[in-house]
Amino acid sequence: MKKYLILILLLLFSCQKDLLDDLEPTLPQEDMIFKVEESSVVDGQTIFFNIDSEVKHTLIIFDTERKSVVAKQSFRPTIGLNDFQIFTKSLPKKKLQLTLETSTEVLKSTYIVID
Amino acid sequence: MKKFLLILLLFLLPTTFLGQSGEGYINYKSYKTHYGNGSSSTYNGVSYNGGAGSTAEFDAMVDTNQPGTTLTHSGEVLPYGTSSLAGGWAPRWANDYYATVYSGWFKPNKTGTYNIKTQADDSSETRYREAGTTEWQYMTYQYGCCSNIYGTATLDKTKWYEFEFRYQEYGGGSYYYFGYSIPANSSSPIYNWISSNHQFGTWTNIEPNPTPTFTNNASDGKNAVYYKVFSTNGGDGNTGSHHPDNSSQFDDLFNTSTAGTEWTHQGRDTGTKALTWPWPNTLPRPNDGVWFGWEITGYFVPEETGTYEFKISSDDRSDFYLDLDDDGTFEAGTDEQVVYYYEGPSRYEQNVSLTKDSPVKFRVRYSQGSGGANLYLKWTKPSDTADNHTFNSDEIWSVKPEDVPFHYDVNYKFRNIDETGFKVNTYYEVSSSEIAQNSNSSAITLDGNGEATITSQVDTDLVGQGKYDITATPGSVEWVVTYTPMLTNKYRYRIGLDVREFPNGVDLDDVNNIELLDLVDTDGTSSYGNTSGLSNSWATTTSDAYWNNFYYYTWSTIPFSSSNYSSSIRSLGGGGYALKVELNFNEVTAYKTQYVVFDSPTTTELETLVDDVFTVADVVMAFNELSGGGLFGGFKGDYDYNVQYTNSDVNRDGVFDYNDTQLMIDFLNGGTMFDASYLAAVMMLTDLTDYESMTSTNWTNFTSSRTQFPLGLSTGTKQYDKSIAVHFKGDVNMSHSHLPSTTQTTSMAMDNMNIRNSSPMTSKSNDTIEVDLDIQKIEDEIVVTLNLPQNSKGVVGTEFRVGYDGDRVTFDRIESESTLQSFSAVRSSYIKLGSISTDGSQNLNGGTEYKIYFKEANDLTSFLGLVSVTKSELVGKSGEQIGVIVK
Repeated sequence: MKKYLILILLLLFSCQKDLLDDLEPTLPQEDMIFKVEESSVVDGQTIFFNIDSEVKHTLIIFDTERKSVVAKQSFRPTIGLNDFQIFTKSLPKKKLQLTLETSTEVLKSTYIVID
Repeated sequence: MKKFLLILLLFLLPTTFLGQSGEGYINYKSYKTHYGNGSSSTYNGVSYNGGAGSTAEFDAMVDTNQPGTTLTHSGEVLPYGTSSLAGGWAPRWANDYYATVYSGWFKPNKTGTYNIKTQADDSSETRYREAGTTEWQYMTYQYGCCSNIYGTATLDKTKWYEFEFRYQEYGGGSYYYFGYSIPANSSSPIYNWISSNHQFGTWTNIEPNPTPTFTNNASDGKNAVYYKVFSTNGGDGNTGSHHPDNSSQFDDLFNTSTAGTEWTHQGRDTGTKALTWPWPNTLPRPNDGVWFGWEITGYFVPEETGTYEFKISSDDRSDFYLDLDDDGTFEAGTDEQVVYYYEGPSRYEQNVSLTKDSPVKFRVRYSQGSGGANLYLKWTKPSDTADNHTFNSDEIWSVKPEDVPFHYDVNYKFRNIDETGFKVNTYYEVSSSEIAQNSNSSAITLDGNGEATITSQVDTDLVGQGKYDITATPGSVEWVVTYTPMLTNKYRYRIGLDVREFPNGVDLDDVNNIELLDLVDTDGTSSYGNTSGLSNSWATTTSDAYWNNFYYYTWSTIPFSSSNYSSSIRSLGGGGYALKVELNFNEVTAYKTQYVVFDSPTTTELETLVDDVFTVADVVMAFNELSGGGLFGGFKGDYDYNVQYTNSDVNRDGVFDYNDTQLMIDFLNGGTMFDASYLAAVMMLTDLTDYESMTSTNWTNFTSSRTQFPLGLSTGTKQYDKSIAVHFKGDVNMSHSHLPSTTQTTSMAMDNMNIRNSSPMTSKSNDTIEVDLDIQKIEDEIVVTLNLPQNSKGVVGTEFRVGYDGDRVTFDRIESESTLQSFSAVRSSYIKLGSISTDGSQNLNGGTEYKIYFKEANDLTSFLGLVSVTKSELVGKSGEQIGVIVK
């Protein structure tokens, strides 16, 4: 009987309208930035990614609308997990493409959203 | 524990149950009243105290705005159960200081007059109304306690009625009983309290015939009507009788209690759509255009006084009523039933006497079965000499003209700018040099089309203008005298108005119009005899202690002898007259002069906007246009729109010349000769009609920059829809200014060049130049290198925007290899740089390189994003943009 009453109670409350958050869903940040297709980036965020060679690599921020490079930085990585800071204050507030490249190929790519 | 859960369950059930079961149930709401302790309550000047003593006090008692009233329970109950109309109690907060309202709809079991008996403790009201109507009818009411109260209700068993039975308890016993006697026993009532054996009728808490959603396709006012649409005869012709034989059958056909009739649509639309059958764009036609009906209502506002002849024609049936006695009803069998086309009798045309500007409510009904369909209402005016019936949309109104609500839409025409980044407010003119924000104005953001409804911001109060209309009415004192006229080419009368008739502080200079009986009517500019060019006029003369004199000029003598006011006119002999009249002074009122004004953007937003709008491409195009005139000056004629000259006149002197291009060069270099420090210095707003028709000579009238636009309010006009073109100083190539709908013949045009401001090509092609970007950190400097390679594009102008993080780096310097004239400007968050050949004699076919140096504040390992290239522009000799990508 106790179980029955509890079930009724649960049923009763479950019929109540759910509270819905009116806010737009926020794109999550992702430190392992190339593991997701798209993420938001905040100023000064440190991103991580794995590299398996020590040749010169370049991180490129690309505006797909203008089809132009916005910012870039070349560096000599260490094999394994590398970390890097991204600064966003000078960047246009929109969705941009972030790629990790060598002189011969694009290794990784993702989209970052700057708010 | 079991008992506890059961109690909890029973407690929660009625208070949380939000669903409605429909037939067999009614709704209830229970309120805690009197603060729960017997205190009186007041809200907005309305109070209740003790037991309800009137409907108004009852309304207050169940008004949750009242501080003493709280809604504690709501839900549904059986109407004849012990928790409702049979002396029971719906859930309530306590036994005292509460009120309960039962509501829903009933359809009685019988047709006829019921005798009703109620008993309640304390006050109660038992009321109902036919579904779809607004006025409550009372079966019984009692303000106090606790007798049997008797009343009647004449009901139709085919109709649904909305009801509201309510009672309130202040203290002590509490109950409400509903009883009735059926119509058959009306002469000797036999009452039964409501119960499962005596159900009275069918009860429901779901509206039987829900009101259709209101569709608004037209604003209230001229050429608008309200309409209702019904599906009739079951939607397929299989229910009920077809085609009304008379007005009464039309009533039944559009009654939702009639079997087969359903109210399907309602709304407001144009009179043209409703009454001229603009196939296929008619009012809604349910059932694929068969077995439906329309009821169209509004006001007929005659433009003339006299006899109108109305004519109706339709396929299938229709009628047209005018509420001539303005009693809110349309009476069949009277003059109000103007024209009709029933299955039985018909009268297609009928004369009606109407008075100019006196609105008369009208109703058109239309019924369609199957087959052909149409509806037309037309009429002739008193002044029409031919029997030519027409539909005049100006005489059809949805509401009386004086009841048209004020409405103001602004529609800004932008180009390549996010309209939603702008907000507007409405200001009023304090003086010729000052405006202030309306007290009722709060910022409204433009929508994605550049539109905003600013109705709420506008001050619609009419204010005195310090000018007066003088009228005269027959009186007992000769306050006016006219002297013998002088005749030159016109008659000139000197007319004296007694100064004692003038209000304090008012003299002839304050007069707007003078109307003296049927003798004189002039505002000083009125036309004579409706003949253009023969205008009357008047001028004031020196006033003395007794008379304010003015001269009245007219092409014919004042018609004293034929006046309808002969008893108010006395001849003074020799051509002079005295008028026995009282003078009335009515101050002319008008809306305040008001403006819709853009809010100021932030400094950064403004800098970015201006640098987006006004670039090296504009400067090259401006130089090109100026230099193209040859030895004898003038313009080359490459501009496609005359507004380009307005945009080119950056020094705002009404002339486009080398003074403007000098300012342009200075602007590229970050100079301040061209003031771009506030939005009103760069934005221009031009009425769209003027903008579209701007000519090669009148563009100089539109060179002022501003963010405020006059509303142009006029008394008597309630609806406004203002379209405004937005353009900018310096936007020579129209990249961010509204484009007129057609290209125009511009000054000294020799050939047209299409506006060269389409988005530059950014995909790699033979027409695109790739600029190499390199960003390196060298010691404490971050160096941005932009390399333009050798090419054959004839680049005469470049512009780049390099953003920087001002918290972490500081701009230091630019090094340029360009052989052209270099420029740069330091903004708050970016550097603008580039080079230009103003006469087109040099170009960058040999390539060039720019280096921009920044000092780093902190020694960061990463610098990704500390600097960025956010804009790049290459320009050819004629000002055309050359595709560029940065790689």
